[in-house]
Amino acid sequence: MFERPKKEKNYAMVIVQDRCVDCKACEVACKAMWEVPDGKLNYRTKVLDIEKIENGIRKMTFMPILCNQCDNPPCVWVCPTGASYKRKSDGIVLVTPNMCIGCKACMEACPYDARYYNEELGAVDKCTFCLPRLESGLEPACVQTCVGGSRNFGDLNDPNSIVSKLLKEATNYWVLKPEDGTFPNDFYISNSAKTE
Amino acid sequence: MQIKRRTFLKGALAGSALLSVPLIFDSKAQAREELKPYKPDKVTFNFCEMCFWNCTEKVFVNDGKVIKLEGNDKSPLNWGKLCAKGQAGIKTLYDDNRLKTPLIRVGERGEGKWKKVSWEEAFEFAAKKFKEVIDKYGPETIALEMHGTGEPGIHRLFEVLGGTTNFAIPAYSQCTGSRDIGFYYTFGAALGGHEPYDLSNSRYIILIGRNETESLHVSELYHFAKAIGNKAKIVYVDPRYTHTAAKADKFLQIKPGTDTAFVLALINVMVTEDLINHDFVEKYTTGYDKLKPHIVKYTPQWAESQTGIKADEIIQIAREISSFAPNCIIVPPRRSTRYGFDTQLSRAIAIANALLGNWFQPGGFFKANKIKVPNADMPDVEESKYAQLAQQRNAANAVLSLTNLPNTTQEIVGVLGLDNVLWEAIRTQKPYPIKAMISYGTNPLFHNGDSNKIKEAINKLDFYMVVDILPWEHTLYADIVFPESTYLEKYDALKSISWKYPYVHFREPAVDPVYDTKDIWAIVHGIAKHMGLGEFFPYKDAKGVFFSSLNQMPKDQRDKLLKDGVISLGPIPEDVDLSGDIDPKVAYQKMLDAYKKAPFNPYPIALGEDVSFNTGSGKIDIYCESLKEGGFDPLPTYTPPNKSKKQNEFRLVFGRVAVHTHARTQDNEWLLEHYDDNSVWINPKDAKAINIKDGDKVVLVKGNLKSPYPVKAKVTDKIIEGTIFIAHGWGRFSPYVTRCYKKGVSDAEFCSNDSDPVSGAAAFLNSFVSVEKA
Repeated sequence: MFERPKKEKNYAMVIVQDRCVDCKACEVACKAMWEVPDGKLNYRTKVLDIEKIENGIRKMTFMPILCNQCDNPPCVWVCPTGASYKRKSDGIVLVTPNMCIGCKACMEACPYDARYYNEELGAVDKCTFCLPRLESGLEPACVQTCVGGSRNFGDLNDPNSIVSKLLKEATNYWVLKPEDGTFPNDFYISNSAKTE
Repeated sequence: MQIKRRTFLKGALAGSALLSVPLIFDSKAQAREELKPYKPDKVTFNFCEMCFWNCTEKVFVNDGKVIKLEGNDKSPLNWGKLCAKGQAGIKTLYDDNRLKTPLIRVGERGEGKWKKVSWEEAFEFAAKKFKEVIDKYGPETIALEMHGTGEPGIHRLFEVLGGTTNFAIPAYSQCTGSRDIGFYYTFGAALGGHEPYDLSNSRYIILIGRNETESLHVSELYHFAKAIGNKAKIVYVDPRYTHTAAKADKFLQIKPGTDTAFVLALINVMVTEDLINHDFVEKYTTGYDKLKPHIVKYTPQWAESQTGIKADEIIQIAREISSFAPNCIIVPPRRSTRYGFDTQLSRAIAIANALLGNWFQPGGFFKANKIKVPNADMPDVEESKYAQLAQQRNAANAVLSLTNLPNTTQEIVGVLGLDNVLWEAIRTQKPYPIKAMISYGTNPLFHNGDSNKIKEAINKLDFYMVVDILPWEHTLYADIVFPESTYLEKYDALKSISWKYPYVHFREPAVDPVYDTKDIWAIVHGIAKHMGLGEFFPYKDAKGVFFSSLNQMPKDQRDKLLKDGVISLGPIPEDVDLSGDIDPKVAYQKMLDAYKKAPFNPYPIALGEDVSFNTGSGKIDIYCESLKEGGFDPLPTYTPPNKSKKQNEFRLVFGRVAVHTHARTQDNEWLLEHYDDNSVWINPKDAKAINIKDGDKVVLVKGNLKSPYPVKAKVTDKIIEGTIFIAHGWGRFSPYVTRCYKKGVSDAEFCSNDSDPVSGAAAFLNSFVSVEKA
């Protein structure tokens, strides 16, 4: 296994992919929560529909995506002003709007298409794992409302957290684009009845 | 550093570290603004009214504005979850297209020309009109259709006005009627609005056109997702590949209208191969001996010829589901208003479930429980002078006079009405003229088949009153429009819901009304007062009604309700977890043992209690004597669907998308972002025959009727040949709902308005239309 930097809290999202039903509750909850400007292109999180035909049988998969809060975040490295940064304490990647010059280098650098330019803010915006909610003792908005129980959030440093349990019990888990060496903190598993 | 965007899903096991991880540090920490924790000024309690599942919620308010809606995690209905529609309730509250004052019509019906009036003028006007109708024609000529939490308020006005039997809750006749009546004749119980499917504990689920993921209700879908987590086997039967098909282990693309053949063949296999649950069938059912010879002819081979589903497939499914009995379920469609033989389908499904013995069993049907709450203190409506006048006149129920339904159905229809027939009674003015109609929270131009007839019907009325939130199409025809407050701006009567986990929740205003609107109790109070009937409405608004029942509750219950927003009978035992290596028998026993100690019991049969059924026989009627007495089939039979007479005409089917509710959310900005126009799904072979390509702009044509707003063709084999699909609730023609005006094609205009002879409910899917390039 690779070595990740040590953090006081190691926040992570574990997505049970089979349990995503593409109901879009997460997308609307996120828009409402963070006043993401109207328009389809503006989002902090999204559900992709992936369709293919295998052996003559149609397979349709729903895949929630959001910022991976990478431990090796390309968006942070390319930011010329230091507006994009990664918090030492919990690894959450954030943008400080008043330091952002809108060059969009981070949007290009992100392999996950997880950032967008917020015209109203005049800055690039992205998922924060709902940090201000975490500080009020609430779950991220998308997790809280996830109708299928697909999204799960917690601290991997805590062996009793739902995310630790899910990863421990999963026969298989994966991250997106591991070959990019970004060390994502969003993990995907295929199936589980154990979500909250 | 690669900076190109690449395709997703090159998934592999995380494990190989390609780069070493640099140290994390933030040299500019001093320059950053501090992030403030999220703290709304105020949190109020509510339950959602974006659909009729009514999820319990909290409303977060900042600076006097609703900023976020969130499921109430203490509620056993939705566990803190809301769907996209629920989350988007804010955009309905702040929709600038809302009805903002009472309006009185000044133009022709349909023109949408109004004058704004004060509430006093509006009350006076409605009171005068009701009086005129009563004086001239009698109180029985007042009719009502209603849907939503305010039903008791508007219904009370209707009763005080002497309205008798001519009312309808469209949820029966336009939606679940045939399903519910089929179960009623079999189990003595309708499934109702919050269905008792124990999906989360089920090991094998067959969904007959029940699109769980798109016609979605939060807890039902959550329980369905739990079943997926438990690796339950899911079979989905539908002419269309939906998002639910994507979640199924097996998708069977059935020919439309042939579901009954499929289910009868399942029963055939279960009976001929002796796969039934003998203990259960002997103890709890009547008529199995009559079913045996009856079912012989419905072989899987015969069903293959009807449904297009292979006989071997049917045999395999019947064997598989039986092997999981009783922890399995065959789920009927919710909106069962389809082909006019829908009660037969419902009966067949009910009987198949009975043979599996899954009633009141984990993974089958649970027993719903309810917490009793006191009603608000109000005088008896029968004391009203108009109610007494109506009693003297003793007019016939118009709807029943126009139908020939079996006795038991007549009793149900007496309670829920038949909206389809009620409008026909208005249109034909038979058996006697109905002269006033109230539409509360329903849009008859979108929930009736062949809906242009409704315009004709409205023109027969002396008075048409609408209470709604947005200026939808039917408001254009109304003589008076009362603007109702949204659920986020008002109190409402206390709500106790019967479900697996019974609960009570309440609604309080999060903000003052954004526009000059009132709640339904205030509206009916105003009208009644102007008619000299004020004494029947002792509270001037919903707040009074709410507190009247609240104050009668025991103090501990009341305190808990006000503190948490919801009360339930907890703690709730955990569902079975079958995802590991646990023996399912052990897992089920563990759960049942926990329920032995719980204050409510959803599985009385599994727990060995004696259960009797509300049928004439006290048992589950596989063979139904009362249907036989009424001249109907006592055992389910199959009638093939109608056929198109012309070439290149396609059966029109419709359904819902996950982000809209019926025809009532199409102006919501956030929901429009996800679905803002319906398209016509057409099979590639059909498209080729009429030279339509994917993305072409098309219109629907039926006789002289042509859809006014072109939509895109979606050419896909997700829809079976010979059939086209459109999402429900589009083709919006009210210019006042600007975000969806002129968007989409209306299913209501083009679908059939047939009916089922046993339930009386509508049958919408017998219509054939052609598709033309726009």
